[in-house]
Amino acid sequence: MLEARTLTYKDRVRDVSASFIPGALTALVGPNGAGKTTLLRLLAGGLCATEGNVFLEGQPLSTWDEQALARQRAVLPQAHGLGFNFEAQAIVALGCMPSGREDFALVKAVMASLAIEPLWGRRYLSLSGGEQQLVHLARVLVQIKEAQGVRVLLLDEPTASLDLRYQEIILEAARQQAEEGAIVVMALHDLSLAHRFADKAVMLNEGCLIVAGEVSEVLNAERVAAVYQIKNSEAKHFGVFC
Amino acid sequence: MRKVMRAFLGGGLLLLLLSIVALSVGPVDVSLSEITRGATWELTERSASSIALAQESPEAFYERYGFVYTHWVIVRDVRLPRMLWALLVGAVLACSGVGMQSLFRNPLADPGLIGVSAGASLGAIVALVCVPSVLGALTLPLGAFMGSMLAVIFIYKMAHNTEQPWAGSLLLVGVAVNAFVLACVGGLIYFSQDAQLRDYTFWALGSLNKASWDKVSLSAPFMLLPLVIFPWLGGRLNAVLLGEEQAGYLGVNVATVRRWVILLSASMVGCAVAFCGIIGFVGLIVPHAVRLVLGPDNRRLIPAAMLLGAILLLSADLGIRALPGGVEMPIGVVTAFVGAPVFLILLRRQPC
Repeated sequence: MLEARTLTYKDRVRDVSASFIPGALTALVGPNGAGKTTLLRLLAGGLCATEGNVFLEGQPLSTWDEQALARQRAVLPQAHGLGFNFEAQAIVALGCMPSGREDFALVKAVMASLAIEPLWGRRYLSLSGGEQQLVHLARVLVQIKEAQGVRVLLLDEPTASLDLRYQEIILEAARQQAEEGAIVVMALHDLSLAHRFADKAVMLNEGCLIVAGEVSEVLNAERVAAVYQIKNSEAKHFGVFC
Repeated sequence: MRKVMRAFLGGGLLLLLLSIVALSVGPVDVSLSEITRGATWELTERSASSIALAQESPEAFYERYGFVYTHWVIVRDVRLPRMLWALLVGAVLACSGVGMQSLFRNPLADPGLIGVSAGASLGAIVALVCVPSVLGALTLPLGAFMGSMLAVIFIYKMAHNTEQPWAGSLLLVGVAVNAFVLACVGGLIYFSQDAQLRDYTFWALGSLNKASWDKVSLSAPFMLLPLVIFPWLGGRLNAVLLGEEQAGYLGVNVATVRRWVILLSASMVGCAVAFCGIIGFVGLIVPHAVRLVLGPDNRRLIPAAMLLGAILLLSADLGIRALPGGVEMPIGVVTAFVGAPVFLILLRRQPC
């Protein structure tokens, strides 16, 4: 289990407690600036909380060995600043780093599972934004493929600015990881996608946790209207809430 | 893989060839067989009596050992240390260029960013103008080395104390410190005498012609050791290219990698600059050129860049030695004069 206990980071995340269980895909939702990305980075261990702590399997994240943690927890960021022209499979193979040996059979299998085998040998900077994101997704999947304990996959707006096909592939892959028993947490601003793919949702606003629970309960029209500061009728107009 | 093997093999052969040329060609041409005979004599038969023989009767010495003693002395005491310096300094500059570009995730980074060259300049001019030359020929190199270390430490510490992400912060601090330090250099130049200024200028433009066994053996450990350690960082530097936070998620301790890259670069480049002056463009252009052929994987890039750096600087030095005229052209002038246009051509060809 991945647990946040009274987590605070400056004024961007305030006193958030939540737990994330294996086998479920949890969406972090909320308006821009609600603290979704910050919470995700805290859960990943990329930021240190000013108060509170994150626990993975009952152990504070800060006391985990870096290598051991890297074999179990992978993070897919929103944007990639990679400006060097690696071949696609070399980037996927970076996921082998924590295990210490480059396993190109594994790299190939994971790339095949995302249907990006044709990118093998292609230069990274010549790929489209969607293809680049899939390459990085393959990298993080390779990273935790052979984890001993519970696997944790954290995704920060993985589909931002991607077209429908890539949205489907990426969210479907995340879903599948959850079905295979991983803890999957995803910051997502698109509520209809959250509704379709997530099991659970955590709604944030101005750094505070508003509500956490089953996705259909969290995303009701009145609450969405209040948090996003839109009219009730507009929230219904988006047509995703029962 | 075969391409990589071929590149390394070709580079190695070229380097060997250039080394032989560097030892044998010059105002006095010494043949390869004469060099090998001289080296064999040096290692096996060298004795006070044989040296005495060479001085009393060069003909008898030639009869007995098959080479001209003075030729061997030229090769051993003039050409060999100079060649070793060219190889080491070229490898050092190229290697730390790779390190800096990976650390800053910017293909335009070079060792100058962390203040090595500017600091060395200040140290050099302070040593020339303010300190009487107590240490003789070593005053300038020591001053320059201390200057570059102080500048690197200052920039590194300053960059840690700002709120911004580390790489960006270090760039900005580096720009400010470089400007300030060069202003200090300008101030000291204003107060310097003509002879000091001339010494400083020739040092600053870069030159290998001060090579001697004393200096080479003093400087080699500071360059050789980092060169041996650096390739170990290659895999982790690949992860750093993804971004510092992402590298952390892959289990890489970025702070440690950063510290090592800066420590090793400061030591080896500081030493190279202190003794041979500022030799521009090698650190920038060699990693680019190698990336075009072998791709950006640091595990190959680092050793390959060392090889090409050594080749390039040795060729530049051979070119200088071939030029006619009494005063040697500074090598920094040659590397920048050739390097800048080549760099422009590379930039136009493709991103790397």
